[in-house]
Amino acid sequence: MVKRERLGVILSESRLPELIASLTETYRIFGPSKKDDGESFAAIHKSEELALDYGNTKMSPKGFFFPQTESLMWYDSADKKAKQDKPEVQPTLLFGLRPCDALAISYLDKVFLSNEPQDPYYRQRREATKIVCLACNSPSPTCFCTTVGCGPDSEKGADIMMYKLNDRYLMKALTPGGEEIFTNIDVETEPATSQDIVEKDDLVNKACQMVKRFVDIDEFKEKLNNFQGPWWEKLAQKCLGCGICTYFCPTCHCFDVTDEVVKQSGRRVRTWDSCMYPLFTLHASGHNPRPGIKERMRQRIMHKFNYAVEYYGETFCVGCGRCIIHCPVNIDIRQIIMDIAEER
Amino acid sequence: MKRAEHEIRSNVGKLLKQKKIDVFIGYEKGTLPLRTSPCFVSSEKEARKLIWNSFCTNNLAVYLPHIMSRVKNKRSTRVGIICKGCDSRSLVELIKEKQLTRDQIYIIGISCSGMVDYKRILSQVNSDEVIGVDETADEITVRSKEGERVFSKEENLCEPCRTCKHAVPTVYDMLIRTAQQPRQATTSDSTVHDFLMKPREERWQILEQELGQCIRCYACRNACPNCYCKECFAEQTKPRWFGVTTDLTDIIFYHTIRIFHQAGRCVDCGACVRACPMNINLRLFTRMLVDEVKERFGYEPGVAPEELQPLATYSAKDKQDFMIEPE
Amino acid sequence: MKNPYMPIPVRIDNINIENDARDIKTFRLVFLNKEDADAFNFMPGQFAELSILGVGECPIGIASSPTEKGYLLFTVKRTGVVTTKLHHAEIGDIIGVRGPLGNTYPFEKMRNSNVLIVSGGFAFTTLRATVKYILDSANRFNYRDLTVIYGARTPGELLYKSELWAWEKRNDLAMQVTVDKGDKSWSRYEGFVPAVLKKIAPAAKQTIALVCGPPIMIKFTLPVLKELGFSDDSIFLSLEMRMKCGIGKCGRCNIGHKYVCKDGPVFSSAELQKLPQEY
Repeated sequence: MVKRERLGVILSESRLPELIASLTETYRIFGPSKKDDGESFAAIHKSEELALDYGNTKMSPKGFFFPQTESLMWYDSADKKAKQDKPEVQPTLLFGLRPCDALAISYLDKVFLSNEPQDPYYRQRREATKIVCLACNSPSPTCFCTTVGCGPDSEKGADIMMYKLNDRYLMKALTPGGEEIFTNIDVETEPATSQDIVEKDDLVNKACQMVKRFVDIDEFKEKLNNFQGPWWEKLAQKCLGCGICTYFCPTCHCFDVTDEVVKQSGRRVRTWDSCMYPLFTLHASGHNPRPGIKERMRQRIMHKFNYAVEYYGETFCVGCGRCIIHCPVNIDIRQIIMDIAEER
Repeated sequence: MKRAEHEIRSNVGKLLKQKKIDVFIGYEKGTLPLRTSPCFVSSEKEARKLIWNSFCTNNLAVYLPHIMSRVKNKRSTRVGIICKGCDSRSLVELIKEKQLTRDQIYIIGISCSGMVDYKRILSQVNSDEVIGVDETADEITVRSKEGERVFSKEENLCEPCRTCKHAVPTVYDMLIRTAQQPRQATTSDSTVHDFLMKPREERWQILEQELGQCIRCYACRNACPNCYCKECFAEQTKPRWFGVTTDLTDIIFYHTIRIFHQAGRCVDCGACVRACPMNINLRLFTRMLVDEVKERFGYEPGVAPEELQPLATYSAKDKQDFMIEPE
Repeated sequence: MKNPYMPIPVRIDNINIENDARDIKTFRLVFLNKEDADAFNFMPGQFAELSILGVGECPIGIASSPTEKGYLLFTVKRTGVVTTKLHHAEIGDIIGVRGPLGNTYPFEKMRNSNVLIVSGGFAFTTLRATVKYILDSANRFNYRDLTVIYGARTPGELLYKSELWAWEKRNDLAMQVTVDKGDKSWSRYEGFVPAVLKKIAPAAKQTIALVCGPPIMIKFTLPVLKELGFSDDSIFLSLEMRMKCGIGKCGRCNIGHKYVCKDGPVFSSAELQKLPQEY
């Protein structure tokens, strides 16, 4: 058991293998792991599999709670009754998650849990999962978290916050769930000193300076109140209308529900969907309220920076930069924000 | 490169000023190192932001069917576009498929010396550290905090460029030559041959491995100039042809049908592969059709504007050996 | 915990073909389990997802009133995949219902006021429920004058015909049925709904207007209501959108920051004016 300390505890980097070994006794662990094309979350059995010195994972971790393909229910035509599919859940730990992704999960919580009725599938996975966040010491050039109310040390959504200080980790439990993790592990730690906190603050400050704040976000949001703004046409011109930005986004959560039949039985299945797809809003009558790429791109941006603010009180963008990295025509959401903010 | 860029700017500026075109589709500087971004310019002043370098990979023909279906006055609207060899071949196919007419477009052709695969270069440097990029005739120099690294273009070419035999556009209104020679491939593509040499189990494994990564973002489809259907079979609900999940059966269904729709039309520009965020080697499948169509019908898409598409026409000489006699 | 995605099993108890084109049918559904029936508390204006396993779901307004006990009515036009399958269903078939979903017409606001109902074509369903609810002897005294204007393209396209003619004879509501184009036997109003509304000119004072119909009818009805003196917060409309989850999560039915499935489908004209014109 790790004792609770006011300033947090210090774990020597050399003890990371012990920490992971101890955690695996209680939890299934997923953490960033090196793959051919960058890092992605993978099952971790020992600390060598972890790649904690990373920018961010390629895909966001939202799929842990909201998988791209998920059976909701199944049935066979003999009794015509639907039977609920229950996700298999066991105590899980997302280890080394970036603060932006943890914040995004707190937003998904609002959609699937705070917004009644609750989503039972999401809830089962979410309740079984705890999040150990690793603050960013060296953000990537595509990061813009500080512009959208997040930051390299943002704590929201995390149960435990970790900071890498040279050859040590500073760890702090932020929630009862975090305390619970501490009680479940057996590894030697020391109480953090005020000197450690100074070192941490220094690193966080440096990281904050590396993330460029390029625009006054409030000015941008103010402009969005003009739904008919003249900028959409031009901004949407080069968009191909694929779903990359929405599928890579850690906060995008739109889904489709479809039925599949094989002979006499079948299932109702939930899959990710994207507001960038033309059939997303197509009525059975043939009418489509969002007929073109312009309308669909406006929906995506407005949803994040205007509608979600009204509905959930949050900006549904955490500045992770995944949409920027993967867009096939290099549409850069920072540029969109700047162009609209600066439009006179 | 610089000279070509200058020529593009001044010519586009002139065309816009003289009202010979209404809008021009070209490339502008990207927001990330080693990237460019398609751009639409409609004034002489805007033409100054046009660029040309070895990262101008996007096949801009993809925008034309959409633009043409939306312009109010089809007769008088003229769109200018910059085309590499492969892009021009896409245009030829689009014209054959009546998505646009030749007089609706003004083509600035550029003799292409091969495009460089930015993902390949980024995988060799710490992409977070890149500060700037310089380009000479044969080399790309990447400057980062750690210093400079020089990459040979030839070694880092986009896959389709390695075996491209049409570096000079097949149609154009004006041709711009860069300082380099157009890259004329001497080797043929062996992708398909190598694949077919493998035992069946291994081929299936490769197929599973490649397509299993698909997240159904449809970027391959949307980046492809040939995929202009207003409603794609993949998303149709009336009827729904197959599932929308990421189960392997659904994914294979999607790619197989999409790729079969490319038979006799695919110009092997590689836009689908470059757009794919999961780096799936879709060319493994498209190449097979390219080779097949060439072998059966002697047809290479986009090369000769007057040549009819083999699958859209009938000839008594068409091979019939695909028809299997019942035993 | 209750799973909002699980359909409640119901049996098709009766099917009535509503129109000459035979593409609109009213389904009477009876819950298989009594506890499901007891738990299904709704008010007119709400909708439910009709669910056919193996085919899918579609959102349909509840056409019956909660005062009609023991069953639910859904009037369905054959349009998409699910509605087509439903039209092929037979009495006795088991399907699913998920709901009630969405908000209701503003019954609190309508209390002690006059109620004006303006509707066209196939959109009359939840307003039929409203008429039925208000006319119920347990509720009638809560509302003042009830005026109903209902139109369709032709006499054969009118829904709930026998009920309409019965309502016409009553003296506790003013019923005006109109068709764009009558036939030989048609002896009632002929003309578009907005024109009839203008002719009848119901008083706007202390009146709540409920409007539901095709976009073109709504477009020409709203100015007439304004002319008659109706304010934007006394006009209520019911909207349609493509939906999947019906509980404000799947993200496709929003108009601005409102989800039609959860915050609607009933909106006041004043609310709608604050939202983007994207529906």
